[in-house]
Amino acid sequence: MPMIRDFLMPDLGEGLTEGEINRWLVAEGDVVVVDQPIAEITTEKAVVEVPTPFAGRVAILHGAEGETITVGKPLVSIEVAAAPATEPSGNVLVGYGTSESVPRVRRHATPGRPATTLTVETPPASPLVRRLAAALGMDLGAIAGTGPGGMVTQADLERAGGTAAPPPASAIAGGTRIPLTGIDRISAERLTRSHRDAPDAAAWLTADATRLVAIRPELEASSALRVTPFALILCLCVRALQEFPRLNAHFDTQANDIIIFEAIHLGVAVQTDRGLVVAVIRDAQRRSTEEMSRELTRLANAARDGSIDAADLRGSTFTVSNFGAFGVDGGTAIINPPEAAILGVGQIATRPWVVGGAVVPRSLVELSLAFDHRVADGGIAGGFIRKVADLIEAPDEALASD
Amino acid sequence: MSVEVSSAASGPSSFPGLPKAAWQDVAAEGALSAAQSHDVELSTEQLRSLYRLMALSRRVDRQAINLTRQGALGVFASSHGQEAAQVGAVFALEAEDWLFPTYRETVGTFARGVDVVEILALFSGSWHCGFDPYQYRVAPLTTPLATQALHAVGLAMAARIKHDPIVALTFFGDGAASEGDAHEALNMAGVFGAPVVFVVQNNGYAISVPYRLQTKTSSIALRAAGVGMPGIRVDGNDVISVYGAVKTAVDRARRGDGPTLIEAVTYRLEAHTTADDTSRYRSDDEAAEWRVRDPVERFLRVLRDGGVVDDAFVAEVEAEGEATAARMRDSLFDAPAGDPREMFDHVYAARTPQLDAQRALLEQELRAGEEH
Ligand SMILES: Cc1ncc(C[n+]2csc(CCOP(=O)(O)OP(=O)(O)O)c2C)c(N)n1
Ligand SMILES: [Mg+2]
Repeated sequence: MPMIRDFLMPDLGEGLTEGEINRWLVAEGDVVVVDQPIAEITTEKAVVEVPTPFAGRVAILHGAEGETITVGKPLVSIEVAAAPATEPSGNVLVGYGTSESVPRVRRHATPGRPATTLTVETPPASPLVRRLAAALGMDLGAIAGTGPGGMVTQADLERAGGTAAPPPASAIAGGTRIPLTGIDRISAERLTRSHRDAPDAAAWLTADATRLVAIRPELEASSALRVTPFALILCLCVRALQEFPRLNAHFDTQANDIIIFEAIHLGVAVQTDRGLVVAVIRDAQRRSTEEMSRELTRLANAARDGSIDAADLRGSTFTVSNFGAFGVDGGTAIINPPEAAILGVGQIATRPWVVGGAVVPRSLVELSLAFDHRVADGGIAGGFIRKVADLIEAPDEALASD
Repeated sequence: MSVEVSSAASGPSSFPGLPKAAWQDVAAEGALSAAQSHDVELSTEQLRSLYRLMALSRRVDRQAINLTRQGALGVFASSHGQEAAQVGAVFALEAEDWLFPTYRETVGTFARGVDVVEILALFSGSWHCGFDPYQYRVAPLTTPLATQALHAVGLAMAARIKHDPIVALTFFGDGAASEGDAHEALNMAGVFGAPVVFVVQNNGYAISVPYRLQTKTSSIALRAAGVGMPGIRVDGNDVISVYGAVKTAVDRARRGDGPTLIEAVTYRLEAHTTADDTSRYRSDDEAAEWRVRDPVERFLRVLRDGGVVDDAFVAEVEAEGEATAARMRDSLFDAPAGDPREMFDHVYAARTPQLDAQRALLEQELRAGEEH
């Protein structure tokens, strides 16, 4: 008598939770033999051909190519020729003989209920319970542990209203998964760290860059070099940092120390084909307008063609992000950890502006500053961004004295 | 004062009669001899046995990979390409000798006569090693690198004290050779003349780390000089050479002439384990070069040319391989999981209070799982 057997998605890499069907190697209706490869599965670790444990006719392929299947859920159902031997099947539990009652650790769902008590320290718990709690979004510190030494057990977790099925990473089936690799992965980690570690606040204002735009051709003529407004803003930013050195700093999360630097190593966020990188203009406080422009061009080119030296991507003390390059007015940048602040520069655009009681067209730029509130208060942050704006509005002296 | 001395060193000597310094240099890198030929005594029967074990090993290894991809095993470390090194070495042991394998030596352990289904218990996630070590004189397959080398030395030293003429053979890898435990085991065996044969399977990689990042020297066998024992480097894909080298070392150890370090140079044709992807760290070309030197096919050619085996024998072995694979499937696919409580029963003869408490906690967890 034919019967259907389900081949469940195996854990193909020591602790994986899912696999994506890359390609089916058989179709519904096909006859397969034991160990015949039936699908190519992509996991976090590798692409693997999966062989069927059953011989018979393929009844159901449980998913389309590109779909992700959770470990333990049916991958393929196969109509096998004969019913398997009744349990116990004769499968011998190595070293034990066939056993009928095998207790298993199971996890079960009970409706969610928020935890109420709060304690300061996280109580001890096994890795399984910690993982379960994290998956359920439960705070272990809020659960009274009944195990030895107050250890939180799985039973405690369930008593506290934990439902055991962890929420799926994405509720929508299908879609294209893009694994983060290389630079993207590194920046993802840095950005996450920044968000987690730094209590950031923001300040922004609009500056009138009409004069800055106007003197640019003169500077270009005298230096025989392309000088972008952004390069000039970098020079002015250095000036402002010298006046507000507290923002040219790192926050040491481990020691809870603020480290203020004398040298200004200016990080500049550069978008490349391989992802976002921060190139570093070293000792920016010692560079003339011309030197700053030259270094900026060199680093940006090197970053884009991939030839940049690793040493040029390390050790910034303050970062500037030029999102104006994407044609946007403003935004909030994420602090480049462990730095104290990041300046965002929007596009320079002609807009109406009130000068001396009259509305006139001016070249305006929006500045925004995200800063670590542990390092600086609103006075310092506001003072700094105001200073950058003032210098942009009246740049002659600062740029000439270079 | 010291500043003055060192600054003087760059100029002429401070007085004409200053005694000269003297020391001895070690020759740059201990030298390997050119390959020497040796006669190996192997009867037709033994040659066939060797082939049978290698061919079955290959089949068993493939089935273990399949069973892992079907979810029956948690992970598996393949021996594909290393059959000659493992089977050839184990073949040189007598029944009373002891074998100390690692997770890599499933086929060496199989060649020793341990039931393959029992061996794979480890990879199915069982808390025990799956077989009775005393029955086969095979220690459990170890995962902590090089720890088994120390166990082998300890057992061999104990045997010497008891005037028991046995030999302990331990395997380890090129990566494990960098572990402190490996150095300690080699040194201790050298000092005490323990009857141990150390077989390093240099398969080119420790997971993704290539041989050149393990040692600046050209051969792990050179290390023998530093611990005062004979060292041998042998083609690990040539089963006759492996057997010959290991047999020489086993005989030497049994005579009471001490340990030997043997480096069997081979290649891991599969990934480190079923959870690894080789494309991230090595080229297909490299593996292709080694496929040409396939130890099983190579040995079969020698035996066919010598008229030692014929098609009928090869077919017979193949059928035995299929039957073994079928038995592995039947025994391991859908096998019931063990009772986790049992893991507390065999740690000590009498359970300690700590174990009792841990067992009670697990009990409670199992009940919680069942109530819902
Ligand atoms: C003491 C110790 N350190 C690290 C590991 C992790 N580990 C498992 S296998 C392995 C590579 C070992 O390579 P090698 O000794 O060459 O043996 P092979 O896997 O190639 O047979 C490592 C580093 C371990 N198991 N034990
Ligand atoms: Mg290795």
